Amino acid sequence: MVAGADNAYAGPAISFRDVCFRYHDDDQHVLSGISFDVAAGEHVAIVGANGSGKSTLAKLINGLLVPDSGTVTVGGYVTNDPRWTYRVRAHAGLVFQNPDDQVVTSIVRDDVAFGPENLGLSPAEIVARVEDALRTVGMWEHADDDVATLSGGQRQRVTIAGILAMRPSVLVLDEPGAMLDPRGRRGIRRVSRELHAAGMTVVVITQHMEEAVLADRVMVLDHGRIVTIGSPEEVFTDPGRLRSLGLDVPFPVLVAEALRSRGVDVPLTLDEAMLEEAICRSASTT
Amino acid sequence: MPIRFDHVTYAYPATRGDAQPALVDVDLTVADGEFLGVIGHTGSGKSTLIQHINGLLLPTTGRVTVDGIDLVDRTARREVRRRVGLVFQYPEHQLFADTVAEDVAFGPRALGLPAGEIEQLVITALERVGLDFCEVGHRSPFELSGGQMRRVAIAGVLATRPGTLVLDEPMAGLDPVGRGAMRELLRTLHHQGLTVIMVSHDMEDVAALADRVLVLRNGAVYACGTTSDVFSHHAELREIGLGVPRAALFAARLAARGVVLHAHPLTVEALADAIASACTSHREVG
Repeated sequence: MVAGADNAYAGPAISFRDVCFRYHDDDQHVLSGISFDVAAGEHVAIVGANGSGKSTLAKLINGLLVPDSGTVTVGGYVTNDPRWTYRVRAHAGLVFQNPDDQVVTSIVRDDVAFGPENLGLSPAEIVARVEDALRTVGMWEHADDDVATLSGGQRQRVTIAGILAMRPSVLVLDEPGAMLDPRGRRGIRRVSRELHAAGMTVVVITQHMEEAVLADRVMVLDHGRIVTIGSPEEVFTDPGRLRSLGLDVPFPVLVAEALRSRGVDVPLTLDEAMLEEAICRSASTT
Repeated sequence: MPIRFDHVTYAYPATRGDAQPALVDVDLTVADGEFLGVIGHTGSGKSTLIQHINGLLLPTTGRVTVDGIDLVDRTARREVRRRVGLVFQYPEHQLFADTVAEDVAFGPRALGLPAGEIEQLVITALERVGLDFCEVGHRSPFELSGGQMRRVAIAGVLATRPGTLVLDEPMAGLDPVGRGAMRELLRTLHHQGLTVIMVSHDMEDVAALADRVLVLRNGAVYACGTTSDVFSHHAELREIGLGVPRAALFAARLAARGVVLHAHPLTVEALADAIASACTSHREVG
């Protein structure tokens, strides 16, 4: 499809059909045979070891890269049709791993205004959007600060505000916590949870299980192919498979696995409360 | 080679005056062969502290000595820099040479050692970080994976045979496989007799590796003690925005529900041992 997609579009927010991509003609494919849909309003996590193709996939979502074969559709617009490049970018905002790659000016409010200014909006609309976006990420009180004085987590939130000010329907976060300390990562998790709760489609690419388990669905990439799509509970409770894919095993699953190997029968679950319950029962029954 | 901080205060030149110094009256001894974890918030003085250990920064007041050598003395500082290897954050960003072997040889060459000896040092240093000289020595460091590049950078520091290795966030940005391998490497180097000082914001890494933990807050020593002692103060650590290893938190939750463990587990393995033993002993009593 879908040249004339518009507000009435009711299909998936993101759709990949048999997508293949490589950076150079004589290289191996970085991604091959990738097909999936992300429904509007869904929160999807994409996980995989280094070199699995995660970041490439992120850049395909907002048309920064286009597939060699197959199609990527965002909000109904096919990304490899140059006529729709701007529509695609307006639909899908991409936040990179390192906020410093995306900061363009020195004062926070100017940086956030950069995107909307390029959309040709009225000054009043821009001012309103900047305030709205900064409030959403909890940085409004820093609107007049110099970006250089902010912590990494705060800079990352300003970057997200800059994307939000363009009012995309899909937010793609490429390893947003990779360069942040735990407090910074918590802040980003809170923002992405709130945006999702407010109806935005959120795709987060991550190696941190605490980010991935918040998603509705998790997609696992391995050497450029999708090997699993499922709920966090389905994907993260098979420790052997997670290790073979080079992924972290979540804490409650590690504990359950270690207990089972010691003869204590507990379920493999992401739910710490459930694990705790099972241990209490084991320790109190004879 | 004990390291002594004798009431060290340091103020960065630009902030001198009424601003808060970056280190405040730090008094600390690190014994030979110890593994010290240094934790604290971004901005708590961790990086400033470790730059004092090899004289990159000199105290505003107080004294730092390594093996009794005062770092104020310029000639002595040179000797200390050979004995204390400092691995910065993302050390792979400092790789520069055409080949791995050349890069690792940089340190020994700067010491003016004979060529034959340098080659032996390079071979040994690469071996210590788990890389084979014949396999990677002739390759460009930039062709290697991120985890391997970091190992090359560490080999470059080990090549001058320091007795102490100081690392600033050695796991940052590594994927789960790389992180596991880095833990193993640091554990091995410590067992070989190196004194290791590691700055980290990952409490799991600190719990798994360190004998002793130093907690910095606003440039001052907030706590310093054995790893299990420091991590038993959950509330205090939380209050200053730091985490506690998940195994310790889980044990505390079990205790609150009446399953008291006869140990203070900091790692998943120790936690599973303690739970398994609580389950069995109950069975025996029952």
